[in-house]
Amino acid sequence: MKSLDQALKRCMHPFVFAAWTGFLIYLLVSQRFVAFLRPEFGLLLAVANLVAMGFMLAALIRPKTTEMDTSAILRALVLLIPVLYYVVMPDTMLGNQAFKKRFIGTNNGAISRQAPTTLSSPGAENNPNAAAPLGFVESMQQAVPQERTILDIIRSPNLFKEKRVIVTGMIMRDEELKPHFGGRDTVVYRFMINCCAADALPLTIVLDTDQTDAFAKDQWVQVDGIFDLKQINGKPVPMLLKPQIKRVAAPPVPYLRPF
Amino acid sequence: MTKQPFNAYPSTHTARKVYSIDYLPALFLAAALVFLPTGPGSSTLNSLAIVFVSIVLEAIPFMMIGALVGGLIEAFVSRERMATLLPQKGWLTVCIAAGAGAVFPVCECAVVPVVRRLIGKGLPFSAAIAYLLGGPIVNPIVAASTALAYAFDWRIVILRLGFGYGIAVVIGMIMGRLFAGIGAVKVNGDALENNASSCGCHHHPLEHTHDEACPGTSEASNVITNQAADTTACSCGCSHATSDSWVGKVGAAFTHAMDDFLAVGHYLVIGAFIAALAQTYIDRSSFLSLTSVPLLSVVLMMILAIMLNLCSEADAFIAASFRGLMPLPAQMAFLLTGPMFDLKLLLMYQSVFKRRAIVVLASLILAAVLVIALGLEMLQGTLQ
Repeated sequence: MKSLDQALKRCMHPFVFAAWTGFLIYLLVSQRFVAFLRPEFGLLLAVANLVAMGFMLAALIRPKTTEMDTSAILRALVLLIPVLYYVVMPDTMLGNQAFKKRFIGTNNGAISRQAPTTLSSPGAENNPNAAAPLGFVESMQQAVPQERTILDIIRSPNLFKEKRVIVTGMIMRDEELKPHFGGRDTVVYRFMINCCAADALPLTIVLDTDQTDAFAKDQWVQVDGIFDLKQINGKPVPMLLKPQIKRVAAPPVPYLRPF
Repeated sequence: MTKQPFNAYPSTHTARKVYSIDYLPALFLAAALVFLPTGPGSSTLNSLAIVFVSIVLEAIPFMMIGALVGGLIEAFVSRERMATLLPQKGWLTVCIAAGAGAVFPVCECAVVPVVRRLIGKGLPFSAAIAYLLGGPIVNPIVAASTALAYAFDWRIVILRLGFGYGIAVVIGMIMGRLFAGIGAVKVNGDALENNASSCGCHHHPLEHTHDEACPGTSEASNVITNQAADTTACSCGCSHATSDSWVGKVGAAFTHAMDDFLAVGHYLVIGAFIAALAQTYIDRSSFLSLTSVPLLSVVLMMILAIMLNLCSEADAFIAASFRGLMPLPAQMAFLLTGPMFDLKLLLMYQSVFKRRAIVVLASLILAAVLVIALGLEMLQGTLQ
């Protein structure tokens, strides 16, 4: 028993770093880290993996001691908890629960390049191409609309006003949304992240329909409809009129990124 | 010099090490098991798990790199060399340190282990505080992300970096004065509690001993020599003979870095968990109903910054999402508070500073941000 205790104390730190090394390699090889971080963070995780390997070697090479106390073991176990959470976590992503906690209205001041309280800059209706890149405008003039992200539309709402658009996102129907959206209770939404899921912001487009009972909450859908900005409670609300909704698979990278 | 035998380490220390259990990790482990996700049906616990793992995965590379930088400083930069690099005038050192993030950009997770080592190498306490507070704000990455989040409104960028720098300088100088001659940094006994040696490194105290008094500690201490290198310099301030071997020094750097990571890492994990709890259970929109009182909106945004534990390189996007809902001073309070003080940092500071110093530091940061935000509130008519 005593030898087991000593072996535990000796192996604890190398084991912690070995676990982290294996965890990071798995995340990188499987690309599963994109459920938590922006894809660009893969490089940082690779660097962290190398450093963790170095720490593991340092822990192995260091002269063995038997003086590691209970607190040190507890602290080492704390470092393993994120790995444990990942292992037991089902294959899931942020959904309606996170949406409800993070939703602060449709005023997406963080991503709109236009006036934050109006989404539309004065006079923009007369010059809808003002904020858009040339290629973007050309593709808008095509007869069959390309799929756009919710972020594209919210960034340049005037460019899409009264035009047919196709967007992909998760669907949500909730009574609590009605006060925000003039009695409508259904949205298609997607989270935008800058670094990781902790800073995720829900971007929403309201669906002007009540035919969404067939869809479960957080079902990934593709919606084809006419985009419009409706004034509700004195604020412009992005909305899709006459939406045609169909189920689709979740995209490989669930989050949108502003840059 | 009398060399102590290995078994002569005071038994009281051994007893203290064996029987004094750190309750924070124990409590955390129990809580973590309670909130463990149980299946696809528990969306709240799954959200908690995603946010928790996200924060840890985002921060851990920076922290490991920060620890490695600290380890490299420890192994390659002697205390004497550090002294030659620093300006003679204390205030100038503080001013340079507060803006050093412009050249060595670090986020708040990486800066803690770096500062831990720099203090050991003789960086004045006031300058260390200035770098600790200024580094995560006054840096080009934060400037770029703030500019992007606020649609290149350079006024916001200038205000954030300017006030961040100002707070870092002022608090650095105040802390330096308040704690002149009083220990604010964990060494000796406190460090031993963290399984560290008397020099602040986390080597086993019995690896090597000598009874030479370390400068600045005024008492005989156990000085650690690293066996990865022949010997190395420790953050106790002693300049021991170091290995000339480059490989040996790199090995020593990794050992020091690993020790730093082990000393600070669990605080990061616990802080990330608390932040994930806050993000999962606190309704952001509930904050918005309380914004009519100017002071209240500032205080609420400061609380939000403390609870969310966001990286300084990403928090501008969250602040910007409150545009039109929260006044500018409240957004600025959020942008200034988070990189200097949040739940994760509160815990991580414990690996470097004594409790009293942390209380004073936190109070000064919050007071400074509050004063600035209220000042902006008064000037808001001019700014808008």
